[in-house]
Amino acid sequence: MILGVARGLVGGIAFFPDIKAPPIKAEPVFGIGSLVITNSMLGAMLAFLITILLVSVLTRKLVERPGKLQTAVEYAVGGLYNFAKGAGGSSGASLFPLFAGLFIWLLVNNWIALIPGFGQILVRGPDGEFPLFRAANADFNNTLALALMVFFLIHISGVRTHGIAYFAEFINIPALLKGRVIDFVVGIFHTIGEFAKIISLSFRLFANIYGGEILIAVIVGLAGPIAVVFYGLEVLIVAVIQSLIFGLLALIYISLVSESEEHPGDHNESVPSVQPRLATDSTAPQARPAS
Amino acid sequence: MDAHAAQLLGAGLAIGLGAVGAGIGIGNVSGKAVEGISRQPELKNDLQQVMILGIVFCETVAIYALVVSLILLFVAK
Repeated sequence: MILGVARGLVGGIAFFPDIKAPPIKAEPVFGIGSLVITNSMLGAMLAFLITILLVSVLTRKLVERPGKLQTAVEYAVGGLYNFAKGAGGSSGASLFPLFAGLFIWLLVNNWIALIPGFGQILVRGPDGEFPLFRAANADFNNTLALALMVFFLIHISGVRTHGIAYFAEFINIPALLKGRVIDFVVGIFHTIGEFAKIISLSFRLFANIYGGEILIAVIVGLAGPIAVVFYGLEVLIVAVIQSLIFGLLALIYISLVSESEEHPGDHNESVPSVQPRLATDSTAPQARPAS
Repeated sequence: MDAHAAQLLGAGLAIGLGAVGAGIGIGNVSGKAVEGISRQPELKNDLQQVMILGIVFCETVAIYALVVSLILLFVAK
């Protein structure tokens, strides 16, 4: 019997329907003058509308004694706020709107793209049919735009905190004038590292979402119902973690450059709170292996 | 070996070998995080946050490999 089941499974797997992975380029749907609207832009707009609708509905009737819905929303937003405050140090609270905005919009974007049927609305174009909507983050243009926005925000907030001296971190003219060539070279490496931030931020989100779409398409083609497992993985882990990571990295990058020297960070504050715990733990010193 | 076969082989090798390093890195990071959490459970939230960041930076390398193999599969002619 087991053999029969196995043979059935193999038979099922050996049946290859043509795997329809989305093309790497978003298809243009229509154009207004020279502005071309692609299907991923339509997807982004849809996510935008849903986010605005969600926020306006959820915050319409705020009362002093919250009901169930308001409590849930307050719990979620409060959790995000505490997360941002914990990650961003002294400027975490002021960067919360950016973090939460990025997170919620990206999450809505990733989730609506995973609703079955989202990519199945086909329209007829000049070269064949193509889907009307496409996950915005499965288009590199969208993630690149977001990464560029974060990049400029990092450096604008750096200049706002440190003034023109901020650029000495990258093109270290003062060190060169004093003859410290190594510091100057380190500054050049810093500059390259800054541009690597654009690449890593944009490619991480793009490749995760696009790779997820291909993964689901391939697994559906290979094994049919087993794709549900990967679907759950995409919905619960990849979509949430990648949205969170994009917002979190933007938050951390900006908070790193906007920390001024007057109060040297909250890192020193957290040390005394850790120390007593270490002391209480040392009642069982043999439990701690030498590392 | 014709060009298309080399392309497919390259795509497979790119993501396969790229995933090795990222996998080792992610395993190291989360293993150490588990050690830390089991030693000091009250620091779980802080450690988890650092762990997620570390995992993401490891994963980025695999993502670069994925991009290369996607380019080989879909873009390169």
